[in-house]
Amino acid sequence: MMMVAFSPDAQGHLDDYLRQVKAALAGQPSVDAGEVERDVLSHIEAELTGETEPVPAHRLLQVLDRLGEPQEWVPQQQSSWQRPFAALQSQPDDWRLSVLAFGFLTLAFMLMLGSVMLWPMPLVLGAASFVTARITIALLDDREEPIGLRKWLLYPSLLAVYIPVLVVVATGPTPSLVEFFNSYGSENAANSLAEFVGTSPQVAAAGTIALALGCWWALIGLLAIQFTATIRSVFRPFGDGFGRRHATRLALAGVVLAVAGLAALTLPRFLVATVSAQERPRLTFAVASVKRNVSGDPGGSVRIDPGNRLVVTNIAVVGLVRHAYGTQRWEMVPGGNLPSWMQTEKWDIQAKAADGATAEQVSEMFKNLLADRFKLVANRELREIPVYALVRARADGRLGPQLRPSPVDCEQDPACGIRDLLGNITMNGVAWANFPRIISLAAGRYIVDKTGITGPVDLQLTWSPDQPPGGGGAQNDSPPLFTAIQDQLGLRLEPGQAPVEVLVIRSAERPTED
Amino acid sequence: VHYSFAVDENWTTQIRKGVLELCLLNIIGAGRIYGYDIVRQLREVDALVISEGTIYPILSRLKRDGLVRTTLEESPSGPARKYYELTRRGEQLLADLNTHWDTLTREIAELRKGRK
Repeated sequence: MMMVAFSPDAQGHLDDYLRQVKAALAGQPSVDAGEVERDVLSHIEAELTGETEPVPAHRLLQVLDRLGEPQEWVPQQQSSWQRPFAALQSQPDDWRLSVLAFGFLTLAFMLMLGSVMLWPMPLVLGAASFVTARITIALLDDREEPIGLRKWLLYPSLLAVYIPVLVVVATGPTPSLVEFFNSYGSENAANSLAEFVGTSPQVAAAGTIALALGCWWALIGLLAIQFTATIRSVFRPFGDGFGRRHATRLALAGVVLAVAGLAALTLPRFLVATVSAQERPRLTFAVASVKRNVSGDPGGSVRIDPGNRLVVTNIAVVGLVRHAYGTQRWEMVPGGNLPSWMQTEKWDIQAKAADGATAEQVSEMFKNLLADRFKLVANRELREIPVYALVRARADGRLGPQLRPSPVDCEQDPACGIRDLLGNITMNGVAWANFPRIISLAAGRYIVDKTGITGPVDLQLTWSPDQPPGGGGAQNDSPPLFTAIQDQLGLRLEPGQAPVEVLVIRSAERPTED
Repeated sequence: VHYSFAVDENWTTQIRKGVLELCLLNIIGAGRIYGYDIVRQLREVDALVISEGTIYPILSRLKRDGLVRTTLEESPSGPARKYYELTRRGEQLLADLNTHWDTLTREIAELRKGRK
């Protein structure tokens, strides 16, 4: 009981202060609210004893001001949000909250794995598990009590949230970009970008992703430098070691990645321009002779004899271009109304390269000869052309009986290799990527591989080609190509359109014979 | 090493928080004392700068932890007064803390001298 008399205003302030102290202490099992009230009154009494009574409000307020806010009478380790949980973590080595957190998590997983999910209960339980674990750790921290073996119950609940959050933060825009590049059917976006930056679709897509991800890392790294303490707190206890140096490294890694991405997008065009700007010596045959062939023979040939001698017999300009550029006929498209003589008039060529020229150099000389003598103008570009998509035929993705991953190591086994006859292909321990290229010759279209097969394979394919086999090939009773691929390999050729790099023939002129 | 203002303030707060408990135990360790007198003595230590209301909860915790015990005595001029004194455990802890504090301050002082 107070012996000091207060003015009505002062008494009102005192009652209000005591009411707020009691409210702050509500739900504190470890604090005796009555004892605290006695401490408050005893302190005020001692401060004001001997002063003029009734004590005015301003004098009481001075004392209350020194005492501090009513909330300060609450022991610091128990904030209001912790109180409901404090009763379950009131003793040292108390495991109840830890068990509760783990129980919530276990229940959430059981519901997700079971036949009855009761959505959104797993989500609610997961959130409850995380919150309980966080509060438990906060309570332990405040009491300076080590987590100890309770970590085995608490950490799973935290990691179930932290790991997905970190994955989302670390990957940033990557998933969206990957989905973007895949969402345009035949990878139109990557191809358009590749055409723009002058590189392959894969490099263009990878460069874009690296650039975006690098910028993202740099951004979150800079933010992390500013909010290091917050990050440590949010990811407690796993983020305890996180510091400015880690944030700085993340930002720097982002900058490096962004620069690499930018380089991948810009360097190809820059390098092409640089190389073009340099004056490379133009490769030409030492001696070359071009003559019209009017024999009317149906056959023709292109060969390179020993001594780097190019010998062409009875080949039309279109055929010459195909051989010089190493393209298939479906990879060549006219760039306008080309004259018919390019396909009908046949030519003989004899040319001799300098001694020591490589096969690549002879090929380059062949192209230059067509440019010089036939005034051929052609260029490569991406165009939508008819293709076949090679896909798995069965819904379960199972492969056919004559296609399986190869256990053969080609480095050790001399028997591995490709045997490509008309109507019969055998591959032993050879990379799968060769097959679409080989089969495109028989199919007559470019093949887009969508099987997802990688690595070396053992493969045997036999079919009945359009032309009768010339010996050593398939038997006449073999199935057609499309049927054979499906029955023997478990794959299917689906017609469609796709952007493919083709050779566009713009123009050509009849050469001057010599 | 870069310290922002916020870090510096946090550092001094933590120092005060740790030292306050040592001060309380030393004041009580000097002899049985009335709670208000503890507050009054601490008020004289300018460097502590702490709300007086935070002292009583710490005293309660020290009592709960068995480091101090309290006795109530009737006062002729007001409510019964609560007196604090150290338990045997509190005395042992105070001795340990003082030893640790002396070592710490001495070594820090030596470090500072060395730097000069």
